[in-house]
Amino acid sequence: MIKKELEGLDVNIFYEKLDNGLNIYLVPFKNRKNYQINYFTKYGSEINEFIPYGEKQKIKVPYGVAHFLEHKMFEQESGEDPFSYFAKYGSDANASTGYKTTSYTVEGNNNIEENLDYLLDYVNSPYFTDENVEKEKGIIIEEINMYKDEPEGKLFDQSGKAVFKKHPCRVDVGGTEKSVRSINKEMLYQCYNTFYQPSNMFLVIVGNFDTDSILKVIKNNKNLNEKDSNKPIKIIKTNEPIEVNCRQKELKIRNIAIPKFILTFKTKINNYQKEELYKKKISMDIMLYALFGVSSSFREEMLNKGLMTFLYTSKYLTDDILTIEVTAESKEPKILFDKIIERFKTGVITEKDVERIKKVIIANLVYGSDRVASVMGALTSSLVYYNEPIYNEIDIIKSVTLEDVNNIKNYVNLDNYSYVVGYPKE
Amino acid sequence: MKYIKKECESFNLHMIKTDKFKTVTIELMFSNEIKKDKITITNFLSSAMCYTTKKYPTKISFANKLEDLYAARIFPTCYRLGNNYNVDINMSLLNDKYAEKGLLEQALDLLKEVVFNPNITNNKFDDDTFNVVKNDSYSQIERLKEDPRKNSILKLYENVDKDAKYALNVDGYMEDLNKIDQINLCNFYHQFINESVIDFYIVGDIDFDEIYRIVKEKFKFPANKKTNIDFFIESKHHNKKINEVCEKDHTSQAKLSIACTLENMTTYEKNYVLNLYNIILGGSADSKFFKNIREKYSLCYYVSSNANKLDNLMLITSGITKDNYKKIMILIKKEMDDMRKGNFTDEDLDKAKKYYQSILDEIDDKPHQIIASYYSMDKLGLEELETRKIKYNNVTKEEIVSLANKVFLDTAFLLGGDKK
Repeated sequence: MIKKELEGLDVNIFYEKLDNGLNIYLVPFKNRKNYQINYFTKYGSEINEFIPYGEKQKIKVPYGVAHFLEHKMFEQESGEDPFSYFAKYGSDANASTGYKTTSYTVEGNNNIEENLDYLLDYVNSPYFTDENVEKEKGIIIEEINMYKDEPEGKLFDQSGKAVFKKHPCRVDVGGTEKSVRSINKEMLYQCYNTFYQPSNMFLVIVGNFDTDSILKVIKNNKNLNEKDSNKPIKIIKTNEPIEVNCRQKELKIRNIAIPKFILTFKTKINNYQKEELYKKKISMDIMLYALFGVSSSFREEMLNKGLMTFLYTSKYLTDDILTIEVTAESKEPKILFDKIIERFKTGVITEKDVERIKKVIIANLVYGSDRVASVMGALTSSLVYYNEPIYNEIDIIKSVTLEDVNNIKNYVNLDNYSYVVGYPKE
Repeated sequence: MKYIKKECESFNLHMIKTDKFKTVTIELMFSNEIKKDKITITNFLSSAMCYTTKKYPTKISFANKLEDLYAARIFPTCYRLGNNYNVDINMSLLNDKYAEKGLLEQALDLLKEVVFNPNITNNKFDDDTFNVVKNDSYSQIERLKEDPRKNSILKLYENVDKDAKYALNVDGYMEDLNKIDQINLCNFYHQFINESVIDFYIVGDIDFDEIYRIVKEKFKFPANKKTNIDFFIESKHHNKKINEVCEKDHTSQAKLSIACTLENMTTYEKNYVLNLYNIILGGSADSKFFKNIREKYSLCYYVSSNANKLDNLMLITSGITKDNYKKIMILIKKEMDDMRKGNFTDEDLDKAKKYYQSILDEIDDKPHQIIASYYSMDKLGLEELETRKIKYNNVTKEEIVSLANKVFLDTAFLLGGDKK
């Protein structure tokens, strides 16, 4: 095992790669009782066209397969319910699917070795039958329906369709009722065999445990170690055009109380190396904080004028496309929209702003490093985007200059936007 | 971990020393009897206090001050606990060790400004602060429309007993919001500071003597010998026949909310047996509800129960296809009947104990939970954590069955699901 420190944060990471390609990251906390395990594959709803393991022809699968697979991994040939197993030790199991990953998690504060062994067993031994696949459809469709009734969910869904022309993230992670109904056992196995190879997966454990005995459990797990792996994965990338699909869309949403919108800027981005990409990300965070953050003159002015009740920014990176989203609630969405564009164009960021915000970002890293769940979240996100942890985050943050921030600001294509607004239905 | 409670003139200071965290967490708690016409203004005031102060009178200056203190956070939370309405002013900051010496004292200075020097001039709250918080409150109240699940629960409680404390909407009321002005908000501030029961909690790697000295010197509330009124709401006698109410709404999924009354339970039952009963019935992913209604019959994505000993109620919620309503009600009744008949295994009980044990074991990992645990001991008569662990472990199947016979279905409310 290789031991490395997250510099300046008093956190040690132990790393090992198994022969079958599985990447293991262990982060022991001395003074906590709980632990979290995250066993995840780099496979989410973003991928829906690929050449299946052992086959020659590419296939296109229905929307929502990754998520469906997540539900069905809990099915076992023995009939035992994993939730029941984990409950024996008072532990909690869960799973989630995103655009880029599918995660299987266990949280608890005792019997970590048994729990881990069990988790590795059931995620590495799929058991799908026509009957159990059919049965799951009712549950998943109720899950999709649940989100449908949330106005922000509806807005988010429409925004994805306005920004992207072809990319699978146009559609909700869960898919649609129609696509879910079309999913069958064979598709699940094709996706499983391709993307659940240990070489495409990560095992991250954070919290209260002993690294040596945990590693032993992993190395002795039969289901994991006997699995085929290290086969190359061929994903057909969507050739997503850079132009947004639709510049402006007005929706009437039945149960929305106050108008809300998502404004997305879509920009092409180069393929940066790990630390460079991280630096770009931090520069972007600083820019967004300076322009729209809690201490910005923009926010104060808009609030004082009654032009908004909330506003937050987010980013999404897929292949060579970067999107920046501004989500806001406003009684006067069109006015706020104009002000945001103007702010991007004319807002001035100073050296002092950059230094102040860097201090905030570093302090937030320290806060995060104190919680098992945030360490898990941050580490997982690094693995997804950079394939490994960033050990010198604080140094990189300190190295960001005003020029870096302004470069990023000037780089965003402000004319290539999509504005999706939801008004209450009369 | 060490705990000390010190009586200050008008409040209690609770200090918990531990070196587990890189942060210091403070909760300054104000508690009052809940009254419908005071909810909205209480929410409003707590937001206004944490938005600007006399010394940091604009949003920017206040936010910059927090940034200066190494991204310290300060925010209010308002919530009902039985008959009482609590406001917590929460603050968290880095340990001096991870920032700079004297940070804690500077942070307490800022907290003092928030509490004692709000942005008031000539008995009026500042214009901008008032208007921003008013817009925010308006939006918060309006947003109830966007949340069918919450809406369904609120309407359920109105149908259980429209005059009960649990039927109050803690997001506030539009008619009350419209009555708030800069002057009556200022008057309410004084009333709030004078009349609330106040508790000051602090958790972190602290020095007891130093904190006691600083807090005593900086936080001088008006002398006040008030104590909390009883937190527990008297239990309701259940309807002879379940009251079933259905309201149409153009949504894809119907939100089902069910209230069960908890009747004549002893303190021991409420503190120990009830939680275990709830975990077995519908409080975990291994519960009877989850295993049967979701996994076996595929009737929903979520279905869970949640017992509230202060309200003497248990709430069951699910999101369903409207046509399945009758089927689900039959299954829910069956699972509750099985609990009454003792149709659950020793293993079920054992797992529930482990599950709860786990929750108790992890209290020490989270500052806010440490505070909540001490608060419950101080105010709600909970026993020491170690005692609780032992007593939970000793709960018997007979005790669960006996408690199950004190839980009664009272009202079911079904909202929407009418979009085809």
